[in-house]
Amino acid sequence: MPQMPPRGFIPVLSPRFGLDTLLAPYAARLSGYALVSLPELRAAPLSRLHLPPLGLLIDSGGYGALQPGSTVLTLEDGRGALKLPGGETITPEDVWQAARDHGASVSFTLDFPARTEEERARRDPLSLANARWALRQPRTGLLYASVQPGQDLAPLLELHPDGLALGGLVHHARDHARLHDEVWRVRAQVGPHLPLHVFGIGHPEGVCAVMRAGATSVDSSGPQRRAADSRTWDGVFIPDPAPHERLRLAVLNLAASVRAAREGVEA
Amino acid sequence: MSPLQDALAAGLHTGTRSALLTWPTGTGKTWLARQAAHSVTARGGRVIVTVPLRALADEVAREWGTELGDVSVQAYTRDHLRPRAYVRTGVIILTPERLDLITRDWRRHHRWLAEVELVVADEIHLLADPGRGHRLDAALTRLRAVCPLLNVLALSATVGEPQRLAAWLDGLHLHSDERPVPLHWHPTVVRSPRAKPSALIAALRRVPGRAVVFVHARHRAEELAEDLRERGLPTLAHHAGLDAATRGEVEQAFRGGQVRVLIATPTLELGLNLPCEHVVLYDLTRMDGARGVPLSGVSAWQRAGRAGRVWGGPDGHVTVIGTAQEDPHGYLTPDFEPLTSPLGGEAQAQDFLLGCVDGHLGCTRRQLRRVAAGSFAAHTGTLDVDTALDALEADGGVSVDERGRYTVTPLGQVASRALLPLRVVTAAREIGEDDTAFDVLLRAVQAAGPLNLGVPYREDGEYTWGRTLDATLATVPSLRLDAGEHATRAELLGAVLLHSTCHNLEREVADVYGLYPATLTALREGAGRVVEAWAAWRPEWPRLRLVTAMLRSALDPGGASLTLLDGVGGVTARALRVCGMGDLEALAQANGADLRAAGVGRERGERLVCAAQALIKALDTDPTRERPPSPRRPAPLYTVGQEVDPVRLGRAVFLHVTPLEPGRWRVTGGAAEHEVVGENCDCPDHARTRLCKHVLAVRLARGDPELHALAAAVIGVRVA
Repeated sequence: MPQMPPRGFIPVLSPRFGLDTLLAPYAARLSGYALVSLPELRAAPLSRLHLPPLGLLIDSGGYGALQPGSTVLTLEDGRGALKLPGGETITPEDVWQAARDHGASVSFTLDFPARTEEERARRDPLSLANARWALRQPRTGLLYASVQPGQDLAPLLELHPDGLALGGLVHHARDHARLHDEVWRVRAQVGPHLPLHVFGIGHPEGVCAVMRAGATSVDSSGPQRRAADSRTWDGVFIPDPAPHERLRLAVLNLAASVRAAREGVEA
Repeated sequence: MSPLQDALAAGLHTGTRSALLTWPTGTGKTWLARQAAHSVTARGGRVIVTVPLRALADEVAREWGTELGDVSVQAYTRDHLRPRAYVRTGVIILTPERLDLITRDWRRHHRWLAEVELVVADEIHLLADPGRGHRLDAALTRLRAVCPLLNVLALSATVGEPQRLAAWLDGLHLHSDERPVPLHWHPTVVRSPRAKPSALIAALRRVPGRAVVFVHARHRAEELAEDLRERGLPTLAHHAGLDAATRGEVEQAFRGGQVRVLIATPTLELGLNLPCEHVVLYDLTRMDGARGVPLSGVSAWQRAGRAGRVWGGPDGHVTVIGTAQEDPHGYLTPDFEPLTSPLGGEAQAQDFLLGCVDGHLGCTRRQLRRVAAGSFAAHTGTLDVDTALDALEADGGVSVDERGRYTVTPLGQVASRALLPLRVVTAAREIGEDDTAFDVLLRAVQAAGPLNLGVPYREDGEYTWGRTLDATLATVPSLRLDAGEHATRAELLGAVLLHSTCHNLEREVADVYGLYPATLTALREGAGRVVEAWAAWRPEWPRLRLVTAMLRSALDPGGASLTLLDGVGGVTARALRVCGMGDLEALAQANGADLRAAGVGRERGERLVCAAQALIKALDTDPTRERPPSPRRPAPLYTVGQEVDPVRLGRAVFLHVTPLEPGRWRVTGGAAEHEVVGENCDCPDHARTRLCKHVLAVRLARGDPELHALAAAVIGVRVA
């Protein structure tokens, strides 16, 4: 039976944080899905989150390529791997294995966002090679090919991924028109049916913008980060919050993001 | 539209919004709550249903389980502290006390609590109950704090100023006065309480069909039922003193029509659905300690609501029987007292905040103020957080560091987890290492506060058990009694009852003292909670662990000593005793194979024998060994003025005495006015005991020094 792609807002959880552990049941209740990135899975066991039954998305952690001190390695077969500042490496096999181990509903190919054109020219072929390799592997869940804004999608679409995942928009999160345009551009290229996921947008207005532009799903840890700052999206501030108050802020933020995704689709 | 249609139009059947329903009984509140629970569980959520009484929980679970079909419904009224138990259940039935405990440990329960979408707070007016309302307020306040998306569906037929409550719940208020079956009121004024029985008979003759007659106490229910049976009316008593099976049989007989009249205590006013055509409010005054308190409008209408609950059935009738002073006509208008939460009380506020600090709901004054602000007590302006926190710190329940952050102390944690006031736990300081099990039980009874045993202090007869009590007190090992230490008769009686029930004498004790087994069980559980808390606070004293085990399993000290071994509970200990291994010493000298007769396999038997030997070595002294009673033990203090009943004396101090002429007084302030001439009173109690509360009141008014001393010593009241 073909798997259904996740829809709407998906919270990003990390087993390292107590607040995320408290939020996990609400991820199941409000979204039905949670996204965990591979470096976070390595930092702490997933079991710490006490996840209730929900759909799990596992991100490759390729965004780490933007961290100062990280390097992108070229493997012998032309694929790429990421070496993080701490010395840890992430290979396409690691991502594939994590998705299998955790029964992920959706996983993402390991791509390497770039800061400069020069970097991009070197990294894009490695990202493509990774996607080509991953999409040939046996899999139980869906596999989305990771892309960056402005990337030529034709070679990826030839590989027939289960969906596309658009990253690199975090820095434009407040520019809703830009968010809309970037997502719209990809949607226009891939047609109306291919699932399109957007990484890293959590504010309800941003969520609404990307969903209105044609995204199928969008993820972020924004609800918790905002709560860690003692605030809700709409400006409620609790000074020196107790753990349950931080949870309340995070749940309200999550609910707002989920609602915004729904409203974006309806719009 | 009918109220039910209004509620459906507002979507209350989906459980997606908070609401307060103040509809008369029998108008479909529970049906609507079940629809909401069905919707919630169908989408994978959970529902908590709070019930006012433990005795009701199982019945509510049965009813809801039947109505909800394949949804898992379970009542949790005992110590189900492990979250795993709740994870499997869709509809969780809890008493306020159990919910209070869960919310004090919310992080441990978070996984399933986060899935709770709806709380059905049945009989929400319990919020104002002086004894237990603070538990419900505290539990709902903490639950709403830790479950941000929770909705509350609060139900009651009798709420004063409901808008305040609805505002607290941040919910819709739907009100209705319309009953599907009309209710007809018949106020009946009698000249004196003595005329009530004949008024009752007349009322039962006037209204055909099944009747529930409400009285205020268990023994009154039994007596009145017996009286009516003697007059040829098929009647049974129904109260919480009956065990669950007997209560079920009584209900079945009433439902089936074999019994026409039920004499019931207030237990039946809450929640239980027993269809009848006629309700009689017979006792309009309830005793609060030594004072008579008029039946509240809320209670009267709750009781009245039991009549005419069958849709399409005959009209309901309510007969109110009372003296002119009790004013039966005053109950005809549904004028309900505004709800006031007792959480604002000093001790209750401290307990609430202690639970919040213990549960990490707040560790600064500011955080705790915010949690408290969510309570109904704060909503109605009666909660002083700062004073309660200062007292809590002064009493040693919490400590505060230089940054102003509060942490719970070991003492506070024990008190919080046992739902006991700090002073009850700190009473363990008064226990000496040489104190006997009886001494510990006596201390537990004293620390737990006034006993309400129901039957022993009956007004209509002399104590047939006085000599039994004295005989037991003369033989029980006790350093305190040997030292002539003061204790009231109620305290000594409580300790003797506990001691006897732990010596396999529960049935005999129930017979001799005229108590219900359920009363003894409740007494044992209450004392067990206190001693268990003491054992947790002072783990270095094996005697406390021993007494805890005695109370938990109703075992004597020897049998209880066996339960100090890992893996030995009450059942195994009893089996070992039957096979001749009555205590640790005996077990330590046994052979592993000897235990087979007790159903213990050879291998486990050998392990237990080794464990018993090791434990005996580890213990400095044998906790089961007690010094025999001193032959020179003084009589307990209560025997001074033995003929004076402390309860009657307690009530006498609140009566008003007006001299009419020399040697003649009028006594008012009780259920009825009486006249005392010399040492004689015109009340029925006096005719039987010769020392009724009215005569005692006159003697107090005349300054009888012995009686004044007794009042001060026995009941702690100094009369001006």
